[in-house]
Parts: sequence; structure tokens; C-alpha cells
Amino acid sequence: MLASDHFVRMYNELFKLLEQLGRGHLVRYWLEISNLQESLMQRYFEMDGYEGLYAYWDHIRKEENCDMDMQVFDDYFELRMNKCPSLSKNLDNDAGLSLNYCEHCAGWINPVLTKHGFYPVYDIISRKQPRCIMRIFRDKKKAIECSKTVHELWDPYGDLTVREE
Amino acid sequence: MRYKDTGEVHKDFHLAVDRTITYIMEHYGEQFLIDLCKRTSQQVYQDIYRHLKEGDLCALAEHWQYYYTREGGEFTLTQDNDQLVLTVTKCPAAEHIIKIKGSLSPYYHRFDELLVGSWCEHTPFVSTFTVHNPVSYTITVRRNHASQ
Repeated sequence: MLASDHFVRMYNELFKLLEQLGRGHLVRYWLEISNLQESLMQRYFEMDGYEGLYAYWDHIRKEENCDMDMQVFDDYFELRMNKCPSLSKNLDNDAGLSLNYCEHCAGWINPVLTKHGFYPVYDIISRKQPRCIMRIFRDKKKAIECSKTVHELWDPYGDLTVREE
Repeated sequence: MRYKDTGEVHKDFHLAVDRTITYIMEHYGEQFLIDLCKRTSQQVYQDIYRHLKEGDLCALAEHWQYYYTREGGEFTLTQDNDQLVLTVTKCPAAEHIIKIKGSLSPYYHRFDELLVGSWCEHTPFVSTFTVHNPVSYTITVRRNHASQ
């Protein structure tokens, strides 16, 4: 049995292997896990809007031992990760950190959120510090406005890209 | 122990492991899974691997004892100088996956077998992995006197 505590160190290695094959391989894996993520989040989407998101991440906060703050505002839900347990484990990994490690998080959560009418704005801040900020909007225009103010936006599928008509 | 997690346990990660194993086998084949297991056993768990290469089973025994206990598994672990036998009657990972999705990946136990096999590679030990039922198995890591 691979300890559940160590899955993140195993997939840190998987990210390295897939990236060697090409970026598309990594993205296809994110999308596979995204499908699993959707099934795990389904009951939270059946709750009321941002409150459902709060409930989901509150469950994650406890089970994954996260140091994070969450708040529901009128226009968005905000998650401030103060010490990400996942990146922290891989900063303390004898196999070394995949420098694109943080990308997987939005890689598998964003498709689920956008499918359910939410627009996440994910600020990685730094790929070597275990903190980030995610703000999730119902209103795409507000999400795009917010995305212009963040430190290091990670929008893996271009959901916030303004396309010329 | 090089890694020693405390606090809550997020067992849904086992679902991601299960899904990942199937995805790898169906898209990349067994050699890719072997490569991933080698990196995991030999580089992530460098400390355990180093002890095994030095002929010492203690680090692996301590790791299994700690994590099967932490996740609420039912198991026995016996050790002497030449052999380590882990008999799992209720694997907490397999049990959680079956509880949530109904069945294990057809390659689930193969993944476990490869992880242990990778730990033994280029060490004085060999491993056997025997599945009794989906949540029960025995892993034996024994000194290969033929290699001495």
C-alpha cells in the first residue's frame, strides 16, 4: 500500500515522467484526475453556491491538515493557503520537487469548477513557497478583472483569456 | 523514519492512486508503471532503499508498521535478520477504494508488487507478493542467500 500521505510524492514523480514525454501527456493526466475530482465534489455542488465550495474545502482543510483561511464574499469565494501540505511534502522530498508541481492543482480543479459555472482565479504566487490564493467567481467578467491583479496567474485552459470577437 | 506524517488521514488519495494506476496501464503500459515504482521506491523512499541495500530491513519494517497502523489496517508484521513478512488481512487502502467505487483497479495489486520489487532491486533481498482476496495479501521480503 502506498500510504495516502505519500501519494503526493509519488505523483510528483509521475509529473516528471509525463513532462518528459511532452506537455500534452501531463494535461491529459490532469483531466483524468479531474473526472475523479468531479465525482468527489458532486454533493458539494448540490449545496448552495459558494457555501458548497466552502464546505468542500473545509473538508479538505481538515483531512489534509491544511493551514488555510476561507471566506465567502458577495461576489466570490476566497481560499488563502498559508501552508500547503502537498507542496510542503514535496519541498521535503528526497526525489526533488517537480518545478511545475503547483500547476496540477488548477489543472484538475478548474475543469470541474467551470463545468459548474464557476470561474477560478488561481494565484500561484511562487512555485517554491507553499502558499497560494484562489478566488472563485460566478461572474466571468469579475473573474477576468480579478485575474489582472494577481501575482502569478495560472489559468491552464485559458478560461480567463479574453478572445477577440 | 525519514517521513512521518501526523494529523488527519485523507483516504480519498487512495482513489486517485487507483485511478492513476489504471490510467498508466491503459495509456502507457507496464514499463511506465515500473519506471514510476522505481522512482518512488528508490528515490522518494531513498532512506528505506539505502537501508535495504546495506542489508537492513528495519527501516522498511518501521515504515510499514507506522503507516498500516496510522491508516487503521489489520495486519501482522514479523521480522528476523533474514526476513520480513507483512500479512495484511484488511488493507485500509483497498477497503476504502472498494467502499467508494465498488472495486479495485485490475492492476492495483500489481502496483503494490512493483513497489516492493523496486525496493528489493540491487539489494540482498527478494520479495514475493501473494494476494488472498482484494483486501488481503502477504508480502515477504527475504534475504537472497544465493546473491551473497
